[in-house]
Amino acid sequence: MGILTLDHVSYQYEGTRKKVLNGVMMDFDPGNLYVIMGKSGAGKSTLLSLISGLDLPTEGDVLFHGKSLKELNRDDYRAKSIGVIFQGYNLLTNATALENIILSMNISGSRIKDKKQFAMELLEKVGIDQETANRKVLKLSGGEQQRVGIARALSHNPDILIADEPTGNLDGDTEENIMGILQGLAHEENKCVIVVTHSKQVSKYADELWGGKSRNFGFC
Amino acid sequence: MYIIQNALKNLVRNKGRNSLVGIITLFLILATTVALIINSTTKEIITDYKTRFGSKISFSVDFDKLMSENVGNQNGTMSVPSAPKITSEQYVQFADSKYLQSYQMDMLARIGIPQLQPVGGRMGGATFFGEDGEQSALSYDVKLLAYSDTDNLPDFSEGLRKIIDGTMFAGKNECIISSEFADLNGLSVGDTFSVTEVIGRQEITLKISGIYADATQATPDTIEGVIFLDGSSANRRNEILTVIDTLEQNFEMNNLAVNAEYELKSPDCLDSFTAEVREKGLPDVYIVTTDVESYNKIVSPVEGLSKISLLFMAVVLAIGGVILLLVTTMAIRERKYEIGVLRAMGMKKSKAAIMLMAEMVTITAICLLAGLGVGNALAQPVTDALIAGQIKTVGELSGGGQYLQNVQVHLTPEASFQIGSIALLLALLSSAAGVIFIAKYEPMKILSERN
Ligand SMILES: Nc1ncnc2c1ncn2[C@@H]1O[C@H](COP(=O)(O)OP(=O)(O)OP(=O)(O)O)[C@@H](O)[C@H]1O
Ligand SMILES: [Mg+2]
Repeated sequence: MGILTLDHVSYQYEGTRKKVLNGVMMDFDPGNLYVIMGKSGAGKSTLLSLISGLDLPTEGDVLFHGKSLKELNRDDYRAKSIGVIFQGYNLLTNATALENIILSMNISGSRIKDKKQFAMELLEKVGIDQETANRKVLKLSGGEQQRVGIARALSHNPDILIADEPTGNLDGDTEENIMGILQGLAHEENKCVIVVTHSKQVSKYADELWGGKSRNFGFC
Repeated sequence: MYIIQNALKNLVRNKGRNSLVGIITLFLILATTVALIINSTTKEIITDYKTRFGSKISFSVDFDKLMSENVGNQNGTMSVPSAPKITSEQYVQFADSKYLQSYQMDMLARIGIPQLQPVGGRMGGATFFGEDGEQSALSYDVKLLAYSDTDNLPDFSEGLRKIIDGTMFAGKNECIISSEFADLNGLSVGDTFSVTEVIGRQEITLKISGIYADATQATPDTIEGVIFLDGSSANRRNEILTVIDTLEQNFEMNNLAVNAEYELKSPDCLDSFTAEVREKGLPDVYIVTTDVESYNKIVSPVEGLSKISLLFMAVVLAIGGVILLLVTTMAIRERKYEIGVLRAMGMKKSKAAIMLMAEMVTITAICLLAGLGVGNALAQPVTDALIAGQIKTVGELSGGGQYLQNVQVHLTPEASFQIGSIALLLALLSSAAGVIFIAKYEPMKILSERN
């Protein structure tokens, strides 16, 4: 059993009649980069939300180290064990990029002394300079916001990294850079990295590829 | 700690939303401050007046009752029956009541001084009629007077009389006499002399503790051409002053003349006090009253003000509270996203709620400070304007009269506490929508609905 297991996971949004996910079975191990592909509206983001513990499946279970998220404290799980790069970024738009990273570190209870310095280094790693880092997120471009989101997901050094279209708004060079970072995390730091994408380019980085025509894993 | 820091940063980050909430809160606190300052001050004034004004007791004869009780005695002639007297002993007994705030009593004993000379010569003395209508004329030389309130002896407090030798009397059987009386009889401080109460014929010895200079008018005004043979007892230079105990403990109480004024702790004690004095033997034909009427009239504009201020506050708070709730509920869209992001980052529900409340409490605290300051300054002019209006309306209704015109308002501890509580309530109200939201929804729902 891997670090993360989806066991017959189904999900239905409140007030809708159709299940978005139906009996999904998946298993994830550390040290791998997984790529999930699928049509728009297939339920990829929904699946990632369940993996990141934002809600519980209507049926089935998400298991972290073999333990159901139902039994774990999902706030702690989100704060410490998992880093999420959202498709819609989900940053605090009125705060600066730097403040977003520091807040995330605070929530996770990070022990790092100089949080500001650490956050700045992270931002530089994803290509955000100091001036941009101190600007309100509201005043950043889509690609910049995406990179801030990536830095935030890495800020608390989680075991699992989830990325929903992480390069959707990035040019080819930046995409390469970001995917390089994610691959490095999987292969060198033994993280479990799960990426959702439409991009064929991105799917090349996959150690294991799911979805598309290759395999039906329960998307309706 | 970072929760509070972030809450404070949020204040600046969300200037637009927060200033709207702040303006409404400030307005509400301002209105509350003015209203409560007025209300608490007027309440103080009313209580003060109640204790000072509406509490003086008077005994008056109920003439209707007196006449009807004496119907059987009528024998053709028109005569006004006389009411039974309240005895001196009763006056003293009435004073001993837990319903009284204070009382003032003075007593008079009519005495003879066989070995001494009264100022102005012994002119047969004054005659008076004894108790029980026994009509026996008795004459006496001088008055022996005693007052319960020795700190405020009449004429002394006005500066007309002054101790010039020795000291004020301190204990039983000590007395002070006028300098004229002392000179005439060759008396000085420390001397003793004996006096006799003329009805009961008890003789006692008084010791002179002091001598006073007397600048009061010695005898009552006389009408020109008419000579009053009032005698020496009417001459004020002959007044011998002592403590109540001297009279109370040496002489028969009912041989003395007693004057008493009682003040209730509050007008509300009137019924209990009345019952008590009836039990102590106050005749039925007497009614016991306080000066509530005039108290009510004087205080009525202030009472009106007190009511208006409360009503004003209630209306403002009700309307403002609803607006505040609406504004914060409408602003929840923006909040929702913020809460969703924080929760997605793993912030616990309780911490998110604390953060939101810290934000609102800070806004409210700032508004509270500003509101207290401005409200305090506004309260007096508002009061003056309102009281003028009240006096006008009350005056038109009751045909004018004397009213309390100047009401000095100030921030009482009671009002501060109430304003603080209301501010806290407002802070809770403005964070209510957000807190409910945090408690109710999973972050997935919040975020997916936005995206
Ligand atoms: N809050 C919601 N309430 C009801 N239905 C929803 C909600 N959010 C998403 N859906 C529906 O669930 C389905 C799956 O949505 P999801 O966002 O998971 O798709 P996706 O695979 O991520 O698509 P994309 O590639 O376009 O991002 C869609 O049909 C969408 O309309
Ligand atoms: Mg999606």
